[in-house]
Amino acid sequence: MTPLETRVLRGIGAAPGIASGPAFLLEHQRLRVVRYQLEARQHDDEVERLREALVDSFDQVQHLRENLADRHEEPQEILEAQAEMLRDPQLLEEPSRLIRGESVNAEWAVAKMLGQLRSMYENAEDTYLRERGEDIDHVGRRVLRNLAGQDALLPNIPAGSVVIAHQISPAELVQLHRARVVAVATDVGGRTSHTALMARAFEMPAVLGLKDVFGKVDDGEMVVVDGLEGEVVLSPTEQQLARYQARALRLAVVEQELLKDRDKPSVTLDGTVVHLMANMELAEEVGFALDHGAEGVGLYRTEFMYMERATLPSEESHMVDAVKVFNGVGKLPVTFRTFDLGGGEKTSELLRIPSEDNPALGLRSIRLAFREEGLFRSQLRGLLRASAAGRMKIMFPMISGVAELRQAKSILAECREELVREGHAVAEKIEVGIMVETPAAAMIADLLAKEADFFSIGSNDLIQYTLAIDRSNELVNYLYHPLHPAILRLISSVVNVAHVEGIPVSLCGAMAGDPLYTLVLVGLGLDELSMPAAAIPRIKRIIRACNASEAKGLAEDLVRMPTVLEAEEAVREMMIPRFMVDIDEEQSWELERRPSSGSYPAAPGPRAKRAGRTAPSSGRGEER
Amino acid sequence: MSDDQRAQIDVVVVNEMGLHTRPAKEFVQTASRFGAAIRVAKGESVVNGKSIMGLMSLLAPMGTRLTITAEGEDAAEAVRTLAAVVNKRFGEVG
Repeated sequence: MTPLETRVLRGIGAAPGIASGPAFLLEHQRLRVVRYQLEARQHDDEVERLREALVDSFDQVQHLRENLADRHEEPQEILEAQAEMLRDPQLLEEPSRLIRGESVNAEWAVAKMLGQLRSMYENAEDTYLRERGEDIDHVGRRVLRNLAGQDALLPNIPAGSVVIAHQISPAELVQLHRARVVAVATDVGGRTSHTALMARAFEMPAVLGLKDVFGKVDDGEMVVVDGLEGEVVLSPTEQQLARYQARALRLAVVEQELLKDRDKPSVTLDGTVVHLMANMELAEEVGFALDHGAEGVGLYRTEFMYMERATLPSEESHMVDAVKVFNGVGKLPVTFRTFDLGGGEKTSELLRIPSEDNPALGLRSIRLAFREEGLFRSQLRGLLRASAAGRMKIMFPMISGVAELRQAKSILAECREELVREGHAVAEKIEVGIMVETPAAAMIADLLAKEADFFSIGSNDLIQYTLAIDRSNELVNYLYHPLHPAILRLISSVVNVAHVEGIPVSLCGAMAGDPLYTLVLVGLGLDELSMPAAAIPRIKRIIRACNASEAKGLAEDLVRMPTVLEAEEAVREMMIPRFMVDIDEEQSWELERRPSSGSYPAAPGPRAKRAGRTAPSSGRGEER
Repeated sequence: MSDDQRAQIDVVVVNEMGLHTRPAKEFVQTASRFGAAIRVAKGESVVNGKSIMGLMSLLAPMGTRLTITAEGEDAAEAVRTLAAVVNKRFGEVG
């Protein structure tokens, strides 16, 4: 056999992690339905064959359900619905009529009936309904497999395989999980598909939406799935494979080790508490966040509500989503940021934001909220209606002056009054805070602090606006640096004046999740750091191993360092030998890969080799 | 059971995802608890309210008006309960 050429395919990173193994091609979606003519005397037997196939299918789904751990509620519901379909008399009666009326085989009859239903869904105008058509496919495939006398449970898949399929149903993913399949890659599916959600719940690396991975992979071919980057490498070279495997192993070992501290408090040796929170955008991520020791959600991005959909979200959908989050986190606090749309990268087609020469300085975030006040109110009303279900905080993005904060608060107060008048339950006390991400807000933090309950520093935008650097411009993004003394001074002064007014300050940009900056941020006096949940264990390990006093010393030195290069050297000298020997540079870059925070590039010098990875990418953009 | 036990109510699908698989399941499971025969109509299309396939074939996104009709002894309670299922978004909230 000639060695296959190395190919790299890009899809949607639906569940993070890296895994490699021999490809296992799931062929079932190619089940062909053949029509054949029966004789009249065969009708009864054929109907009976169908009945048995439906019973078998139902039993299999029930069996899957029973074996599913309780915490996976979402798949439970889906399987329950599939079971309900399988025992619906209509699924027997209609095809039976066809069998008798047209003398056709059961496969053909079932496929015809489901095909009609399926095409109705395919043509539905509503995006949600269109996606739900998949449920019908999954049921149909199972029945057909049973009719064919095949075991509808998947074939024996060797543990350690990477499963390649056109499509994988949630029920199948359960089986793959149990068969100890290490990763999946599929032609279709998106980040919000049920299959993606389940892959994340099972922490099984998944790249979906590869369009034609199924047609490109050979059975048994070595495959690497990088669920973080959304990349699938076919027939990697030995060096590539070794590198991926080493990385995967290192990640696993390190993760295990770090997770030992999960339930321990995030406090320095000398007693300073720094709360570690998760950044999130999907309610389904809650389990993962809690598993990594998050003390709550420090930044719940709501932009996702406006993505991948045909209509603008209703008040109800905001409420439903928020309640879902609360159901997951229980009594822990959740900070919902009102929509931070616009600004170029996250524009939804639904909003019809006029094209702007300079979107970062244009109609975005809170400015858009004021212009599209109806949209803003519907979000606020939805959030407020969920507020009684948990500890809700509301945060406004891109505030640049006190007037904006007042206006937003007054709209919020009006919404609350309306809801109370209409008889809805609204929480007594909801803390209202702002993102400090414009230099203006940082400069007048003392004034804002008198009217806000908390601050959250959005370091990514604060850096971009303060240093006047467009993160996405490769000609200048080498200047984008968190350790610029201007940034450190701004953060320090925001924290100080906030503390004078007695309000807490969080930081939720990429800095928060990068272990290189943990000591600096502790030293600057942040009360809370909010980051991708996967980063929490490592950051906690550092906090638990340092003294706030030394951190303060470091921060005081840094704000006086004349150049970024010197500041960076000082930080690296302090951090790497003590806290970061077990990770390579690459990883620290991967801790924050979420779209709206982007990633910041390397300064020229010691870290320049990262340059290849620095183009800020919008994960959302790729999904659409 | 007598034929005069008949109840009917109009509802609007208020959950954002519409009457897709899971809500349909929710509806059918509730409907099946009643002895009354249950029909659900969307415009001209009428389906059996105890059949998930039937309900799914209605293709009812958010905002769709549905008429629920029950016939049988517990008809009144059936429509009341089923209307509540629809109004409560098929249990999609907590």
